[in-house]
Amino acid sequence: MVVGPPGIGKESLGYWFLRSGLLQGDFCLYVTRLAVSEVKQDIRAFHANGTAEPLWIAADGGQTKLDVSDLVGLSTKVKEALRSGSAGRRVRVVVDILSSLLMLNPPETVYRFLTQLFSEIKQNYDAVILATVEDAMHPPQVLAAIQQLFDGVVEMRLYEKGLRVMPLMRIVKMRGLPPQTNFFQISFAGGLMELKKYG
Amino acid sequence: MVELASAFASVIAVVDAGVFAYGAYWASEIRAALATPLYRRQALWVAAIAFYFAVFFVFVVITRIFGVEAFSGSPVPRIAAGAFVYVGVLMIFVWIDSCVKVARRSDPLRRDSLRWSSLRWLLGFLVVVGTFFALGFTPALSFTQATPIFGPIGLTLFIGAIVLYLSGRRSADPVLRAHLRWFGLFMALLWVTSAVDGTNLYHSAATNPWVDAISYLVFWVSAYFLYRSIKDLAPLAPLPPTGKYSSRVDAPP
Repeated sequence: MVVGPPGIGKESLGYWFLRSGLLQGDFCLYVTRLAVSEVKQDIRAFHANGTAEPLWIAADGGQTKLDVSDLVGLSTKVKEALRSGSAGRRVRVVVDILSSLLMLNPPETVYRFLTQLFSEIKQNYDAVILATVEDAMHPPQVLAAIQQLFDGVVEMRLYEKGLRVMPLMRIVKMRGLPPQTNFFQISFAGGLMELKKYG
Repeated sequence: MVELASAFASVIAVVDAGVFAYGAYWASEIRAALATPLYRRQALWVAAIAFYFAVFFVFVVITRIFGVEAFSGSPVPRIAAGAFVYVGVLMIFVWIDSCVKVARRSDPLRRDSLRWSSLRWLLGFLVVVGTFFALGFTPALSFTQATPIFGPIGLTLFIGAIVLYLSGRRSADPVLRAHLRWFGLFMALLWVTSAVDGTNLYHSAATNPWVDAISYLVFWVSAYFLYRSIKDLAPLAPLPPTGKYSSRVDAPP
């Protein structure tokens, strides 16, 4: 789960995650509340585009149309997409709809929905799900509860130091890794996302 | 006494230019730190608006120092000054457009407020045509003249303000809402100040310098509003010392 304010580049992690998966022959699914054209525009801006494409569940322009207010339908569509496309391959899923789901539904309902969906995916597929969440839009207790559903949480924030603004990332938690206290400075240059240890 | 007031007004105008330039600096810093093109574009246009007002006040100081007469021999500087005002209006329109797009992205239902995606083309056309005609026929020198309430540009900005209000309400992003709130205050104060006096380049040195000084002082407040709006482009946290956070390693549910 990648948490951070809008515009900081959370999605870019998802773009490279999918690009890497597509290069390795994994089955990749992108579930987005945006239109495919909008996401592709961003992907191009980050130079994360490649020849292969993921399967899209999107508000517009995807193979399957997304309706964020229909949780049951969403669950069915995700499972159908995985069943039809994965064919024993490893699965990578990028999801940017968690914030929308949390705004349109009670947090308990979203929590139950995600618990059930993740559990089914975990049982049937060798899958990694990367979800992006806008942190300023939800109460901290809701975010804390949702974080419990994920093995890893990465936080991206803008920090003010004197007259400078720095985008930094830190690993809040990651299963299998010892506690991390380091910050990493994020930069985008030459079509690559660069992480440098900060401090 | 008049000379003292004039010098005082010039000093305040210099400070205005400095505050706007400081705002422009922060907007460009935030832009550099952001990654998503849509948000970078929003920050870019706020930076441009702040920089524009910094330059505007540099011009004000120049006209105060050298006098209006130094520029009144030819119509070219007058038209250039009018064009400068309209460039500001165009920048505000582009900023509105970028903000509406950002607001739509953070609306969970992705509503197209007042069908802005189509309306923007018509309004953009009106702004350009309005600017062209206004420059051709009445080279205006103040924001009051440049944005008449019933003129095409005034109408465009008025509709833009409504769309922004609707989009802001529909957006779930509190940071964007704060940005819009401060920018709205900046625009409102700008309008009031320019209606009273203030932004008239050619007449500024000719009017009572005390009135100018007061209107430039009010610009301090509007510059502060713009600065606050810029600082609300993105949430900025003070940098914590390394190692302050203790990370957890939780078992999956």
